[in-house]
Amino acid sequence: MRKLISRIAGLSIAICFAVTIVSLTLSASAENFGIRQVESSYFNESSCLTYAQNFIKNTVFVDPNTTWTLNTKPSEIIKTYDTEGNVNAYIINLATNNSPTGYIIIEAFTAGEPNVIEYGYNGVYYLTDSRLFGNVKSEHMIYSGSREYFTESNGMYYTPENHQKVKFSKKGLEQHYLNRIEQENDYLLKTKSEKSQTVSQASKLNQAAKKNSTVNVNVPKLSSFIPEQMQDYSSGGVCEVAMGLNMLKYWNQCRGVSDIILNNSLRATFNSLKYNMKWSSDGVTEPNGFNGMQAYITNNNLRGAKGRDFRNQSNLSWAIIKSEINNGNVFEMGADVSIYQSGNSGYHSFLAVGYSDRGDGQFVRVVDEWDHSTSHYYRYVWSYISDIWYYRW
Amino acid sequence: MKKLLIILIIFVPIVIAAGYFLSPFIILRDFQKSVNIDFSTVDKVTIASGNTGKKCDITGKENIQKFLSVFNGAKLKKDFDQSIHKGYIFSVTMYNSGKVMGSFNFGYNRVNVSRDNKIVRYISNKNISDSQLREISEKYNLL
Repeated sequence: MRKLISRIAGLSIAICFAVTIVSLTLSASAENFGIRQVESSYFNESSCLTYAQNFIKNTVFVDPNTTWTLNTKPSEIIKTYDTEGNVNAYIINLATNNSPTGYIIIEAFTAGEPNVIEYGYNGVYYLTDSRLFGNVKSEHMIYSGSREYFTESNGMYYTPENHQKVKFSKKGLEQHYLNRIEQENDYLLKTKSEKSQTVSQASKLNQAAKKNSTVNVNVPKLSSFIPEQMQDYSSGGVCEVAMGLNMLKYWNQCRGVSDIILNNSLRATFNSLKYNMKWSSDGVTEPNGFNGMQAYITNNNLRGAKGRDFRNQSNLSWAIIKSEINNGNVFEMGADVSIYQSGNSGYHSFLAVGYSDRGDGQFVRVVDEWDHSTSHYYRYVWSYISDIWYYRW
Repeated sequence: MKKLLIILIIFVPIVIAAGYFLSPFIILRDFQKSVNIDFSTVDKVTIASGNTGKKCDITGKENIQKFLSVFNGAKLKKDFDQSIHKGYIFSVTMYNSGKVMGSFNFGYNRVNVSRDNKIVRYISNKNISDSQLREISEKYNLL
């Protein structure tokens, strides 16, 4: 019996050891494979330069405010590297008739085609400006995606701007970079498929852009809408409820739909929404907000909606957002606030009331429930938006 | 004997794997480790209210340590519910030399950490009470 127990114990230890070795080997080889796979898909310098030249040409035709002309050419090319020493991006300073006219930063690691992550029309790229940062541009610059650079010296990494040591090890930086690649490629693939679906709209938009570089669309009668702010009702994590209240208020006061405000009291409506959306101090989940609006209508025997829709991140796009506004529907937009207001972190529920398609980006006009304004704008970045939903009457 | 061996061969790896994946949800970890920031390196904190949108910068080592002492003794474990929740009470962003080191939001016994463009939800062993939350709002002018 004792022999059997010692055999079983020995066997268990051997299995544990084997499992550990196998899993470590697998993860190491997966990482190596990951790096090789990434490196092999990098675009070379000539592809990136051709891409930059096409980008310049298109911009000249589309943006009336550009300083670029058909004579704008690369004047200086600075390479940046991944942790393995492969060139992963190009900082291209531009000149028109020998005077500096901005820059283009091209990422070479993205899926499908190179990606212009940043560009400007004046001067040179700030990191390459020797008056500001001395000779940083001649150092071995590591690029970890999303406009983040490091310099390397004796295996340590530093910020190029002020030469502060950063806490990344090579392995940590490598992982950080791989995560960035994954995120950026996810985003680019999504926007690329959107672009191909809306080629004709895009060409119309480009024509409009020549005359007027901004296209603004708002829901009807927005000027008469004064949204409620959440601090007047409750404290802590009630943005989805306040957004629901504003959605109802808009349809009631601006579109003349009766019988949707409980007892004609905004406070009673707020409290009922809070209950039906299953609010907790932790906020409201995606389906509970949408389903809670229906529960509010049904449980209070109010006027039923003519239509409703819910879309999570994988089913939404800029084209859908524009189409909802074009159809006159205000809608809920759950989004990460970190790109809306710096120093904030977490998901917030906005009421979308319009959009703005500009030369410098795509923006959703929103009510943020932090004040009574309808004139806030959220830059549309697909990966930062969690869901949208609406009810219409 | 053979049966016992087969059972062991099947179950031991399963138990190890389950333990590995479930441990963050079961075992409480130090707050700083979960947030993945060494608080001693922070030179600026921005605290923002999810209720009013107002925010306040906290600078100076002493002021920062005083604020972060709210989390002294707090330990976190991952919440099994990782679904997106909209709304938060306070958010905190930490900086070093102007560079964002990380951010999280918190209230009561909840801490949601922003990591790689995702929010990871945690449950804290420490409850930050209504009166403490009100005190923070008043102290940093977030009302």
